[in-house]
Amino acid sequence: MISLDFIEKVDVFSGLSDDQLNAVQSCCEEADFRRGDSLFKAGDEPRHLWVVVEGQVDLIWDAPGVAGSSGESISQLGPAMPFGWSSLVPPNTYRLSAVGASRTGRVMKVDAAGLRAIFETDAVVGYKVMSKVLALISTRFYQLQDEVARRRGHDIINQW
Amino acid sequence: MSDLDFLKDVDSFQGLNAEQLEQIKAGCRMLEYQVGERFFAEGETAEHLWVLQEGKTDLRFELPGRPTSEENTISTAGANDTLGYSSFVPPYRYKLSAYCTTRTCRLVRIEKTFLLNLFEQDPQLGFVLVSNLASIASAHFKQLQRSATDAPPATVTITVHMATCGIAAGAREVMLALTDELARTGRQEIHLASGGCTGNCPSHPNITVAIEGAEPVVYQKMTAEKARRVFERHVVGGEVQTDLLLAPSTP
Repeated sequence: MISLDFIEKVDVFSGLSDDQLNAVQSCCEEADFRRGDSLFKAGDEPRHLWVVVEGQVDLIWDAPGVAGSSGESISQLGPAMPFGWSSLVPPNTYRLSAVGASRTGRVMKVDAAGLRAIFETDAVVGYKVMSKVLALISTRFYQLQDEVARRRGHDIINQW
Repeated sequence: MSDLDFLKDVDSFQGLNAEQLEQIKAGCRMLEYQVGERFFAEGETAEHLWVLQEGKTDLRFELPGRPTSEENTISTAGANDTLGYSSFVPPYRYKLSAYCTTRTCRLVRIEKTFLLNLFEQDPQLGFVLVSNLASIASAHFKQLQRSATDAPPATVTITVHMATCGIAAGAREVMLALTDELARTGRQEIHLASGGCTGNCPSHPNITVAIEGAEPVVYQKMTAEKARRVFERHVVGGEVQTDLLLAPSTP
């Protein structure tokens, strides 16, 4: 079972009380992966918020023909780093793909429906977690924007 | 009826009750901007949440050493849209710049610290608002992905036929109107040129619109107003204005 100590280290769940962490823990399960395993694909319906426990996971933008998207990762995630924010935010579709990047590894899968039920009964948890989820989306946006700006910049320079 | 009544229709505030909405209104300040004005810049410290009441706003990234243009637009915000959620996430800096693209933009500006105090007092309000902002951020993420995969826009050449006969009929005013429209949109794939007489003097002023991949078309008896319509609806909107044509497919 995933320990409260670990859950507390995950940024999305930092600042929660032990009772609140216990509630989150009841929504968690673990899964192993190997290098190259697909954890989810862009476009899938998300059921979990994910956290790397051991090893590395890469987030990949699959758009064909676009710099930074052809199988290249836009983000490499190590232990305690969350991903799969789309599970908590409409329209609830994964925007990127996640692939195992280390020889072996382990992830924590947090049931999104269970988390939403906690938010309904305890708005403090909802406010704290969703504030961090907003920050997580923002981080991914920056990473994607870097790729797009680089590509557009190259396009413009090539026209000079 | 208060100027702020429109807030009840704003996505960011859906799910709030009437009392919570009244609390938010207490922190609102109305502001107005003119076309081309930037009301926050990429990289600036983000201290406000903004809600657009009227007008349109482009969210653009900046390229060093280059003037802003529509090319850099990630998304366009309209009435009831919320901007500036970066004020709630580290590093608390705007990720994009906001430019007013209509004659005027009327906005509500709310201080971040005011909202954070409300969230402390009422976490349910904080949960609803932050969840709504996450949905908006998610939509921007999707728009960014889409904008990066869209094909580049087709090149357009607009020729204003400026021979003596054309100028006598008002071609200079037509050219000025088109120059104005082009500057306003900042679209770098659109080129404006002057050309000679089309040989149809009674139909002057003429302009020819040539869009890459399509047959050029010639418009007749242009005025500044008609030229603006052709620019907006044909050059930008892709819809040939058949009632103004000299003859279809005649260069």
